Amino acid sequence: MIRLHHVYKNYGMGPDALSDVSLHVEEGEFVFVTGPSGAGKSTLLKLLFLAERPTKGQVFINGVNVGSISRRKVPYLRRAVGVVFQDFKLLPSLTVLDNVSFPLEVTGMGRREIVKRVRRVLKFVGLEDRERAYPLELSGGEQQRVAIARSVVNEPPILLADEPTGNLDSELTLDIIRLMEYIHERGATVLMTTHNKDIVERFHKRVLSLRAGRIVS
Amino acid sequence: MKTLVSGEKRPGPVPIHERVSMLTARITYIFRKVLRNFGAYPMVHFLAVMTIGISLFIPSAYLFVYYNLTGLLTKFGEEVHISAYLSDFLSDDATDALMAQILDIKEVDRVEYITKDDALMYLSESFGGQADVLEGLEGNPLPASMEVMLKEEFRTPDDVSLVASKIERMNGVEDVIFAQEWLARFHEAVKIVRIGGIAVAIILALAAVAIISNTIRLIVFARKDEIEIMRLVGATRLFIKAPLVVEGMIQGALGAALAVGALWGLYQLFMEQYYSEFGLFFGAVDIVFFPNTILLSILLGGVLLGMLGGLFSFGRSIRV
Repeated sequence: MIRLHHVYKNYGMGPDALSDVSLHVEEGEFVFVTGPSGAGKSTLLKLLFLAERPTKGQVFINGVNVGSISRRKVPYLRRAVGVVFQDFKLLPSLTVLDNVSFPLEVTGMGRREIVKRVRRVLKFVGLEDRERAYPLELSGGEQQRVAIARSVVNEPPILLADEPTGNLDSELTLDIIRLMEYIHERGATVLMTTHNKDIVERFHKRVLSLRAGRIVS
Repeated sequence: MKTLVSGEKRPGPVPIHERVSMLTARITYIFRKVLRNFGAYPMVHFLAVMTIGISLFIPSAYLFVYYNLTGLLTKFGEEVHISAYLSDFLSDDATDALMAQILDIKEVDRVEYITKDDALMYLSESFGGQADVLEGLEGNPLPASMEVMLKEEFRTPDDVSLVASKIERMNGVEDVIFAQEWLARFHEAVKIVRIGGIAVAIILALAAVAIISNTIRLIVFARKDEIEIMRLVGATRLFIKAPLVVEGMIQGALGAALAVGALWGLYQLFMEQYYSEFGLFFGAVDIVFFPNTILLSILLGGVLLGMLGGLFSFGRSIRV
């Protein structure tokens, strides 16, 4: 599903953010990507949701070489990858319902169908009665759940999460990880970065460790 | 899990009715988004409309002056005529023939025949109260004349002298005069106004474009976060730009309406307060407001500028 082949990434200043990274993630896996700050975890994810292109090497998502597809096709590929961020990245001027509707609106889906699906996924994350609330009215944990809802609303095969529990306390953290496990059980391939050792120890998943841009075992 | 990870939308061709409903959904989305944007950021849009309005006001005011000036010039141009003085002993038939001959010339628009008696009458009228000066006159020394008016496109110095020389050679014509020097100068003035007018108009239009484009760029910049998330979630560039383009068009239309409205207000004010005082100065010339065709052009111009501003609002400031 996800394959990196001798990938290097340099932002143009200083050392490589990623250096000779090769890895393979099968469909349906749940992987933790760990490492200290600056190890390159976020960069790896950025390559996978196409915010960056590799400086050298190839990145394959389901067989498609994402480094060489035309700019025009990038949006369509992005619709297959759900992303959750540490800072949630919700739109403060939109309600929860509208925030979660976004990924479906870009596909040209009809309003009624969108609302139906959004409500279904809000129920899934346990926020069905907050659909009219604005992000700033919600707690951190709720906001992250909204972000997760948005990331899975169009049922992407891949879910990426960049330190999703970084801003949350430990109890909420467990809730969020369990939610992601639930999504994983329904067939998604999940990649999650974290530098929280407790999570890694508690949930037994495959672990990819990065250090200074390289994979260590 | 349904979405494909191959960069394609879906396998096989999409049936027509689905394409149509997708397009409808997208268009509805755009209008909803535009309305929501106007509601969410009323201040920004108000300022944008004001900015566009002001930047369109200047070219519009200029156009107003230019429009009235060329109207004035055209009216003055109507004064361009050739006076052909006739010999005293021309029979009626000969006079008719001569008139027909002059009308035959392609540059000629119309001809007015002034008899000796008419000429004397005009002269005494121009003396006003002093008409008794003419009482001592023996007979009527004034000749009859043909006042020849040329068509608008032939009122250049070259054409006029050409026609004058043609008429000079005709039977029965004693003398031909026209305001040669004045005509040459007038023609130069018209040329300068026209060329200068176009040059200034272009510069002002470019200035308006630059201002409008920058205004929209600022709006886009302010929405950077929103746009970033839209891209993340798989929106195409067109999808993100379309509401901005529509917003630009609406702002352009409102701005144009504002500019024209302000101009009209000033025009009314001027006409009411000052025209009666300066009316004599302007002579018999009317100062008019734009006809509907020009108003419509200004409005469309505003819409077009807004649209262009929206289309070019991204540039390098937004990461693709």
